[in-house]
Amino acid sequence: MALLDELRAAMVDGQSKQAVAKVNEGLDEGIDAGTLLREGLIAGMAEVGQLYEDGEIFVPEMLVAARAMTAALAVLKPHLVEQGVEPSGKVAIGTTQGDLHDIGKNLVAMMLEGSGYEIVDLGVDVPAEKFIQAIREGANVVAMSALLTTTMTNMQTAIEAIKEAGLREQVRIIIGGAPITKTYADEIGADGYAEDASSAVRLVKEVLAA
Amino acid sequence: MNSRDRVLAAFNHEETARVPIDFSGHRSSGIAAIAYERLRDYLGLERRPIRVYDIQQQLAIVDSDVLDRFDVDTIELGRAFALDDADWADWTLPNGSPCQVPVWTLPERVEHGWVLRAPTGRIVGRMPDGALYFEWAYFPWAENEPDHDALEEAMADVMWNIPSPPGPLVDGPDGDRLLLEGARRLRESTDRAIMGLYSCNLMEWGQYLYRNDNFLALLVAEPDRAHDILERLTQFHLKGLEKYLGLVGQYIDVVNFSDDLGMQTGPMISPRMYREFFKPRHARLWQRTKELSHAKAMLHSCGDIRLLLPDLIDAGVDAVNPVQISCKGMGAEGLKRDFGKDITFWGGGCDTQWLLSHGTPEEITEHVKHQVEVMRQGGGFVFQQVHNILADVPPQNIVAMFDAARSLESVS
Repeated sequence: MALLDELRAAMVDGQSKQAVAKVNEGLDEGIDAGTLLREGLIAGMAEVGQLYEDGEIFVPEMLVAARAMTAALAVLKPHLVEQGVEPSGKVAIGTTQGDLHDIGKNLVAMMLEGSGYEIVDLGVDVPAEKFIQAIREGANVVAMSALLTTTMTNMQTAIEAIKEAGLREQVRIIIGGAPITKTYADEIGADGYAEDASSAVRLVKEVLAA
Repeated sequence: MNSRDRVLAAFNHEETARVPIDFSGHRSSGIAAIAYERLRDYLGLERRPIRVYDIQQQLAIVDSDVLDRFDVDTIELGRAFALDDADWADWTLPNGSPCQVPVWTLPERVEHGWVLRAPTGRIVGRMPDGALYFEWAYFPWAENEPDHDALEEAMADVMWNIPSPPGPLVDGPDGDRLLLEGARRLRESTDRAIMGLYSCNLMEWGQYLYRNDNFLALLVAEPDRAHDILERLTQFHLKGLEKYLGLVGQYIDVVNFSDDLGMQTGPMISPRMYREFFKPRHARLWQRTKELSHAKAMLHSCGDIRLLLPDLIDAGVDAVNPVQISCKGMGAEGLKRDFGKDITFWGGGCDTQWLLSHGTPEEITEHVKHQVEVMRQGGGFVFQQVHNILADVPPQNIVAMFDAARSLESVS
């Protein structure tokens, strides 16, 4: 459908106004909100993620695409709620306790939102209790990030606390950030590690399917 | 051969009997005060008040007994200043240890943490209890309409504008004379290579003012505005740099420029974007440095910047730092093979993202020996661990690292 192609193109190019216009146009034409979400926004963000992974675009281009998506999603949201379209999952995201760096975390949150997940952004310096509370309130994925060796160990503390609260079985835990590796994720009992925002989207899909 | 000769030989791509060593020569090769206190105790050196000269990262002044112990070849120009006890105020480190900070950087206690205020009175930095460093609390042009005409007023409200020494000690009518005299005194008193910090950040100032995400988006969405602010920043830096080099250029060996362009997985921006927005401006700053002094231009840029190296070299930089070897494209062998003849690698001597804090002294010794053997080939290498030694690094690891670096004699 030409309109969906144009919507995807607007997102890839980071054209917020155009993306919003295309969503409105689609709704006026009677295209189902769920279709606009899946075949427009989510498909558009998947394309953006692929371009990033292929080295065709870099962070600034991904960022403006994510912003275009956020603007388009804001228009679409009430229609999705009306139609009862459920998000693909609920992700509670934050930097680990003691860590104040949130640039990467914010980008991951935007990319996940654009891929159809509900985001609970817990911000920076997040203690384990806040992640636990978010799980109790329905988050089925916890995503934690850390920039420094001095703060990465608090990821393990949070995972232990989630276990002690008896919630480990009902949540998938993924981690990321500069010093983090797959080995470290395995060592502390996380379900996965992603090296950037684009692979974080793929990872969430994988861990929820597992 | 003295320390200064050793550092300059590296820039001339000459191998020296042992590699030049930087420790604390700039604000990304230092040590967190908490780790430094433990290091002194471990080395059996006398206890003395730890002086934290960089409040944001809580880096300690490394005393001359430690510099001597590790055969360090560098020193920062700032060490010539704030020598008077009255320049320092008592504070307490996050681990409860007493320390001193420059009086103009003294944090203020608030509920659940500490804050830093700009001279304007605005809270610009924040450290919640439990954290070990300060992070931005205010981005002038994220919260207000950007006004490029009011650039300098906006810059005053940025956390990183709170200076390390000399800072305000060389403000005022007598400031130029004091700066010049301090530099001359330091030059006369040391054989170490003197590093002048004159960062001239472009990308980073864009991010400090607009906030990181907004500035990166601006580069794509409003290129004319991005060019406008970057040009104003360049003019501002050039004016300051010219004055600075006019005063101290004859006494310093290296100017430390800074602009973080990399991430763990690659550059933050495309080479095309670097060439359009940053390269011509970096080139002007580095060109001017060479016109006005004999100092070498070193660029501190974290992360994986491999894709940008051909353009950085072309723009005239002499050295890059910190050579973050744990990043994808930053392996020492590949960098030396592809760029070793054209640039000096200042860093990459020891991984700090895992090994230095989590490894054993034996693992560190082996790793450092390997790094040094690869990087020293054909000169063009100054030893430095990848970035500051953080609070969690055990002292025996620090000793193992420097001892491995200083004990390696060249075989060629």
